Order: sequence, then structure tokens, then C-alpha cells
Amino acid sequence: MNIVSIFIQTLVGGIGIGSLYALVALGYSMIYRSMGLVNFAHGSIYMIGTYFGIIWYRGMVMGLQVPYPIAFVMGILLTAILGLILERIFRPLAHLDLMLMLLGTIGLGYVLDNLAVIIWGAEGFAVNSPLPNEPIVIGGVALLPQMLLLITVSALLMVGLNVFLAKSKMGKAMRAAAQDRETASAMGIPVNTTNALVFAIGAGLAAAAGILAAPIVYVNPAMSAAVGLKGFAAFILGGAGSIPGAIVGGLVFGVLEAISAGFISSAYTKGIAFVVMIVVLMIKPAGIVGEVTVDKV
Amino acid sequence: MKRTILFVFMALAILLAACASPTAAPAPTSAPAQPAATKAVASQPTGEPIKIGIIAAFSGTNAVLGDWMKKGTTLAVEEKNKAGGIQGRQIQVITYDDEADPTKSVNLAQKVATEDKVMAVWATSNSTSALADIPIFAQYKIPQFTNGTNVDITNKGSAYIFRATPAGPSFEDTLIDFLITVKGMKKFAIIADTSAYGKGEGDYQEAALKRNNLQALTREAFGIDDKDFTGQLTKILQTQPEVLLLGSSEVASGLIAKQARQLGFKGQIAGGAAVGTPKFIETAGETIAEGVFFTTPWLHDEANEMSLKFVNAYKARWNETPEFHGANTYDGTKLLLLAMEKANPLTSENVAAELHKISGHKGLQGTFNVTAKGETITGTLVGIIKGGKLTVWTGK
Repeated sequence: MNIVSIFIQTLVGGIGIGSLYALVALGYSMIYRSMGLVNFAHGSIYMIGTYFGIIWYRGMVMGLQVPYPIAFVMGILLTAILGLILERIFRPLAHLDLMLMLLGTIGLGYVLDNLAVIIWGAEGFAVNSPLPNEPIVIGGVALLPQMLLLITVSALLMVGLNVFLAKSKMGKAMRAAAQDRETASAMGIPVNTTNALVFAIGAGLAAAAGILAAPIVYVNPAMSAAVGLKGFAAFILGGAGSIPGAIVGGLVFGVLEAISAGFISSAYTKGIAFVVMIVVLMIKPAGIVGEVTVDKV
Repeated sequence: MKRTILFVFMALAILLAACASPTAAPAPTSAPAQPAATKAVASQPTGEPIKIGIIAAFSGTNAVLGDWMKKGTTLAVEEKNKAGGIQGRQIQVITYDDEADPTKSVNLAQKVATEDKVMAVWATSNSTSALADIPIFAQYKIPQFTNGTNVDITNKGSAYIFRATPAGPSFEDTLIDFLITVKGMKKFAIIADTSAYGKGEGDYQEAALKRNNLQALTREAFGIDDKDFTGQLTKILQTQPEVLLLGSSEVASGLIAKQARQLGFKGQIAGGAAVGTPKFIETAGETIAEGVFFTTPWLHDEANEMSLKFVNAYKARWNETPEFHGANTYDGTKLLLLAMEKANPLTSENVAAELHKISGHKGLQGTFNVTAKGETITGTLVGIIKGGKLTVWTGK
């Protein structure tokens, strides 16, 4: 293996995990943008979403085993419904002081984590990939089918989300409501409905990320903490509230982790990624793709 | 702008604190005097159950360790209770979940020692937490059993710590000597996590290689929460090792084995205690786990009457086949019950003293001789995963 293929190999792993962070960061970003709410329960929603999909795939519901693509869609839909319920619970929090918002969302995150332990047990399980486990080798670079699936579907979801927000009537209404709540309301946009939809989409994206990554990682209730934190870091790194920022932030964070593991020091990957994040924020506090509007919170 | 920075810092601080699993109980600064604690245990009226505490991870990725610890201990205790208990008293097992978090573990240790007044305790399978709990049980003179393998555990100089299984170097020495002398392998790469267990395993592997005049081609590390090892494994594969040595928990080891094969690693995968468990096979998948070498102090052996009896009892009670954690907690609890029978009067301090006198006791893992430091047994055997099962290596 030459240095180029080693670099590409590391990069592919980084982009794969980065896509996972990006999808989670998108949820943070969309909810923050539309409701002004930083949802610290989002890592737990990601975990619950993973279970919501995988329980069908593994036949954990009345022994009913469904194919992976169907389980994937079912997981997203169920989590989106959970998102609608959570939005109703969080609605009063959005107008409160940041500290109360934090406590409220973190508290609900804990409740979700504990519910998962009660329902599915604390131990967790490994999930088999629906695709072959044999890697596709191109020029010395081993590409894992599941990783390629994660990257491809994540990319499609991100493009789809952007098209939806830019072109569709509902997407435009959501953007308008996010930009100026009062004016949008006066123009006849049902702000609470758009917010609920934003929450549902954010939750659904997190579920998509979890179900796609499940065959690569290990599914258990404790998985919410690590990805929740890194998704949040990506959200801040890209620029709080920015949609492209969340995507860029997620990818940058994943690639940083992989490269520091492969080329610098494997013991301190997390430290290195966070140091870079802090340095970026010191130079450019609004984040990489940060928008000026973010500051008005 | 200022607000954004402030916001980021505040949010990060709170989120990090949330991730570090905050504990509600305040850290004890002034503990009650030691005699009071032991006296309280001694003054328990006859007839009241004798309590044995288990502090272990019952949730999180290490939850399986707590589960095994409970199953082995409970089985031994129930057998004893059926036979009439100790000095007419029944024995009761109480469990506590520390989530493999040393901070939580220390708080629970304090609670177990002062409030629940246990006679002895299993704390814990996680070396990091086991190490953290040692000073507390030493202070209250309560015997502490562990199956954590980090060597430092028995080097802390406590007369109240007992390891009911061989220490880490025994696992890694056997494994590496086998791979070098029997399998003729020379090129090793190590991947170990940064916990007390993982770092310890990596260190013992390096020491064993050095003893054989070899050196690892590379040694990579990772945090215990990591799930993607592409970076580390890519770096390892460049060095073209014959053997990939694992030094981490059951789940992480399984994920690494899986990802290493997916990245094209064709060589031998091997590891110590955590690899010789059903959880490793489940996580890696049967196909990938096939042919992996491990070392263990105990494996199901049809030819051994004691082993067979234990396996049948364990299966009947828990509806699953035991692995070595179930066996070593069963062994350790047997030692403890033996010491409790001899202790007169029955105080935790006397139980510890009696434990130190045990020698030549036959258990599942071999013959136990308790040393002054609290080691009880040495010696591990080589196993191989075949057809999704942990089996004894027979030379083929």
C-alpha cells in the first residue's frame, strides 16, 4: 500500500463516520434555526431511532423480520412521529432561558436513555450488514459496502433536504418561519406546524444515520452520548443553525478524527478533533460556514 | 459574537458533564472511623442474612460483565444457602450498577461499606473501577474480590483485595509464547484501548514479546467509546503483521476483528481474556471469529467432573452456557464462603484473614493458593474459536 491509498483509505472511513455526524448535526441545526432550541436530547433521539429501525430488521417485534430497506423506512417514520411528540413537549422550552433549555432537553434525553434500557435492555447487540461483508478493493483501498451505503444514502438525504427546503412550498414556509417568526405568522404561515415538521425531519435524519451505521457500530442505549456530543460539536463547528454548516462540520469532524488516528496519534483522536474545533471557533466564532443571522438569538 | 462564544463554552461544559454520568451522591470527605464500621457488622444478630455486595457494570457496553459476575456469584451462594447457609444464617447477594464509571463505583463502594454493611464484596470486573475502590474497602476492612486483570490491583498493598482469576500477564504470556513457539509467528501488531485493562493488556503483550527478543511492529490505541477503527487499522496493516493482538473489551475487540477483516487483513487475530467470551464472537460474527486464538483460565471441559457439574448447574439456573467470568466468580465466591465458615467471630476483618490462609483449594480454574498480595491462582490455557464456540486448543 502506498501513502496515497493509505490516505484515501483513512479518508473514506472518516467521510463515512463524518456523514453519520453530519446527519445528526443537521437535526441540531434545523431545530435551533427554527425554534431557537438547542436540543440536547438529540443524541438520545438518534439512539432510539436506531432501535426503531433495527428492531424490525432483527425480528424483535413479535418475531416479524422485515428486509433492511423496509426497516430503514419504518424506523425513520416511527422516529419522525416521536419527533412530533417531543416537539410538543419542548415547545414551551424554546422561549426560556438557555440554562433552563439545556436542563430540560438533557433531562428528557436521560428519560429516553432509561426508557431504552427498560424496553430493550442495557446490554445491546451487534447487527449484521444486509450487504456482503467482503470489501470491494480498488487500487489497494478496501471499500466496505455498508460504509458506501452509509455515505451514499446520507448524501442523497442531504441533497434531498436542501432541494425540499429550497423548492417546495412547505420548505419555503419552514425557512420563512425560521427567519422571522412573527412576520411569517402574520403572513399566514402556521409556525407551530412548521416547527413540528422541522422536529420530525431532524429526528428522522438522526434515525436514518443510526440505522445506516448500526451494522458498523454496536447498538446499545449508551450509544447516544458519544454521537450526540460529536453531532453537537459538528453543529457548532459548521456554524450553529446553518444547514450546509452542519454537513461540512460533520464531515470535517469525522475526517479529522480518522486522520489524527491514522497519521498523528491514535490515543488522542478525540482530543485532537476538539482542539481543532476550539481553534477554528477562536479564529471564526460563527463557525466554518457560519451565518451572521445566528447571532440574533 | 461574545454571546456565541459564551454559549459554545457553556453548552460544551454542560454536555461534557452530562456525558461523564454525574453522580448524585456527594463525594465523602470525612469517613466514619474504621472500628465503628467493623463493629457494626460484628454486632449483626444471628439469623440476619449475611450480605455480599456486587458492584459492577449492569448497563452500558460492559453490562455483560456485571451479568456474568452476578450469575457465578449467585449460583455459589444459592448452593450454600440450600446446604444451610453459614452458621445458621442465609447469604444474600445485593447488586449495584456503577456503569463501569470509576466515580460512580467509588460512591457505591462508600455506600456499600457504610450503609449496607456487607461482609464482602465483588468490585469490579473493570480494572479501572476495581483500582478506584481498593482504598475504600481497605479502610473499612471489607474483603474485595475482583476479576479485573490489571497487575496494579494487587500491588496496591491492601490486605483486603483478592483476585479470583489469574492476572493479565498470565493471559498474555501464555498467548504470545504459544504464538511464537508453537505457531512460529514473529510479526506482531498491537491495538489496545486506553483504559486500565486495555493499556495493561497492551503492556503485557509488549513485555512478553520483549522476553522473546521481539518487538511489536506498531502499537495503536483508542478511546473506550470508539466504534470506527479504520484509521488505526490502516496504519497497522501498512506494517504487514502476521498477528493482530487485541487488548480491549469484548465489544471493541469484536468490532476491531470485524473491521480488520473488512479492510483486508488475512493474518491471525488473537487476544486475552475479553476475546475468550461469547460476546466477542457475537460482536465479530461467527465467520470472522473463526480461528481466533485466545487464552483463558477456564473452559468447559467434559472430562473434568467438577467442570461438568458446574456447567450443568449453571445451565439449569441461567439457561446459558457459562464462560470464564461465571467460572471465576463461582470460584472466588466458594473461597469466600470457605473463609466465612472459618472466621470466628464472623466479621469481615476475620474473613479477610481466613482468606489469606487458604492454600491447596481445588476450584474450576485449578488449585488456589492465596498470596499475601491477594493473588489466588496463576496459569491459563490456549483456546481457539471453532464453529462459533470457544474450544480448547488441541494442536490442530
